[in-house]
Amino acid sequence: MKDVTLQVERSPFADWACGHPFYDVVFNWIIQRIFGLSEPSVLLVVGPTGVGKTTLIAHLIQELARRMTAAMHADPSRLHKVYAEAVYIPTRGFDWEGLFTELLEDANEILIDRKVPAAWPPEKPNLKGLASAVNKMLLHHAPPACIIDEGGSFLESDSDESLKRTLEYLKSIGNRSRTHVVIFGDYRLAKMVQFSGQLNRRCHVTHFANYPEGYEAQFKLVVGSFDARLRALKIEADLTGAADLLFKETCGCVGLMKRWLENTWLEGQQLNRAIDRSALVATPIPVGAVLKWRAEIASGHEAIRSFFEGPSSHRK
Amino acid sequence: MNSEHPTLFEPDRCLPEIDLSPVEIPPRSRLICLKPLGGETREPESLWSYAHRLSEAHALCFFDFILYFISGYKMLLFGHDKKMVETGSWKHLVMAMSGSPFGARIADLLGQLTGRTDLRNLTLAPASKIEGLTIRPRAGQAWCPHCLAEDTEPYERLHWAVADVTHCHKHGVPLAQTCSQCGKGQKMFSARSSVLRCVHCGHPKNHPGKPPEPSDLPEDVFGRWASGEVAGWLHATGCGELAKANIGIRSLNFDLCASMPEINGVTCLSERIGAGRTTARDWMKNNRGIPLKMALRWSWLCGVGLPRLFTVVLSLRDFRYRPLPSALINREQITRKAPVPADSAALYLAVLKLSAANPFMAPRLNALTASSGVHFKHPAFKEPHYLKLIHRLRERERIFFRKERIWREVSEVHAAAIKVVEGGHRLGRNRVGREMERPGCFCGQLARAYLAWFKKRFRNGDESVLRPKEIPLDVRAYWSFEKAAKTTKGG
Repeated sequence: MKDVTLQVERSPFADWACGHPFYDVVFNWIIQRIFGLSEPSVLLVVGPTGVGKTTLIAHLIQELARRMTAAMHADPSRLHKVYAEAVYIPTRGFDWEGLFTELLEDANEILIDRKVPAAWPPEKPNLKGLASAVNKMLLHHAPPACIIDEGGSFLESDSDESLKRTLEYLKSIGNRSRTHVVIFGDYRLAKMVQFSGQLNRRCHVTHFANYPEGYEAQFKLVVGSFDARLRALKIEADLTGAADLLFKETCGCVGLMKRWLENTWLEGQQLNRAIDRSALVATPIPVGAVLKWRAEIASGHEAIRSFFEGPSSHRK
Repeated sequence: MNSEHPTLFEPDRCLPEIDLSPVEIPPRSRLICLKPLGGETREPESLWSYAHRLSEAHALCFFDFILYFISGYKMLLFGHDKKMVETGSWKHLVMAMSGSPFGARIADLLGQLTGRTDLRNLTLAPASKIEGLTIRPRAGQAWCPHCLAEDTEPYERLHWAVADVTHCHKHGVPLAQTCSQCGKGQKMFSARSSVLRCVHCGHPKNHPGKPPEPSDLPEDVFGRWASGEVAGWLHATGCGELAKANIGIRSLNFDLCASMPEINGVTCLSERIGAGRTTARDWMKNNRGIPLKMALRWSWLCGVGLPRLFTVVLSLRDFRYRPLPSALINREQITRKAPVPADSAALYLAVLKLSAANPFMAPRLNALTASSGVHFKHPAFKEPHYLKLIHRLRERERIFFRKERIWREVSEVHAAAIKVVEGGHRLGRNRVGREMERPGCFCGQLARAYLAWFKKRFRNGDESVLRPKEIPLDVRAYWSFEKAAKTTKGG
């Protein structure tokens, strides 16, 4: 009988990433604050979709593990991180229960469905118990950072007031458990950034930006690294000739470029075609998606700019 | 506001690869590696309290922690995975948590789950290894409200889990065992059990405020001292200082009472705390451990510290009489007529002296009063050690005179029967009776039985019956003694 199993090669960019100027600055910024600040803080990392946040989180987790190895050898219950993704459920609002459960599962906590807020008075397991369990878990396992991805889900609150309370609550988690809370999110999180200044000094914000207009030369360096990677794996490619196209279509987002290149590589495999400008043109990113990204980035940049430099009226 | 906007570039830099290779993470413990409390204050925490803190650190009720998590490790704990009647079984197991050997098993399990190696020290297991000593864990809870009030993080001390510890050595107050509000005892395993709250009404167990003045009642004085001894001792065993402490108890094999005449002098003074009426030998004979309470009493009376009592081979020189606290003696003198120790000793010595002079008879009351100078209504005549000795002598006297009476009758019948045979007469009862020195005494069954036996042997031609009877030495000695003193029993 003929073997019909589809043979799929692993992507050339799987488990591979290159550091680039914007990436390094943000990564160092996070590490400096996690290990340098004496008071627990909320660190907000805001950036557009596909800029490389997921890679940054993976790298951050590896780096925390490397730095915490000695401490983890000394204390068998110490953790180097706890990680969860924030989730918004349309009919129920922000899923706090899901977030707490995911954090506790990541910390390998026991009997998550039986958490109670206090030993006395006796209560049935509830959300308050889960929140208390997260606090206690962070306090006792003492990870240097509690990483929450997809922080934009917090912004799905009904009102500004509830958003403010959400941020207050996240800050209090960090305060009570003496742990830095690092929240990664897209430009929806920019709204939270506006509140953070009003809240207190323990909120730190950084912008993990795409390469904007005027930074083509720097982006070309990144494209060169991807090209070198493909050549190292003996994949026929010529990306330097398509750097301007990549820059334009991906809005200077390295993550989006990576995804586009992977897609082109997959398509090219079947046709036995090199990854070059013509191959990229043949597998274009939908125009609607590009336009949406551009609009999102423009509004996000404006929000961030107004946060750092004041509103446009003030700037005039 | 602490915010930055990354704008710096180094365009000519070669972009490095990011190292995303997985980092080897050491194995993590399943439970939080909590540090046991009380190491600094020399009052270690009990395992029950540690398990409570552990369940709280995991935001769990203690009941759930045991019933749904620890019970999942039945194989490690019991060597089987059979279904148990959960709540009922665990109720008793939790009560035994601070003791040994179940405490040791739970400590080992929690040690594996938390990554700690020192959890056995939170149980009585190290102290229970000491040969010949029995330490009973308490079935319920006991606590000092003032200690709990002073704690930054309240915890139950290990020595509170010992059944024989009744007081707080720090504040001098008896340990509480019931809630001050509802008056109910505290269960160790319940959905509401807590270190700091009443199981029933939730009233706090810690009482802020000044503790009362320590009382000078004998129970309190002894209780405070015993609690301090046990607390220090458990800390020492926890630290491994007494790891080889299994030789000492054998040195108590000699009769402590032999070194205790002067201690016995105050036996009734120390009655409430108990005196060494039972010797170590008695306990060892029965292959039982000496109860901790008794070891503490000996330690008090002999002036030998508890660790020394169990760690080194003691000689008589190690023992010295340790007087009771003056407050205790004064109180006893007021409340009851205390015998003068010298009188007790004199009476005891008089008994020994008179029984040595006449080993066949117990000394009579008039002889004792005359010899010791102690009045017969003196309380020394009711002291246990005197009564024990005099009862022993009286029992010996009763047994001896029964034996002496038998031999007296038998020897008289024997001598009379030989005279009748030599006279050529028939061995009749009347004839033999007439030949006896005291003919009237031939009326007992014993004499008749012996005569019947004699006649039977004689008719069968056994010549050995005609030989003189061999009387036991002690009976002959008594007859000589009687003849010399011209005294007879009852006459």
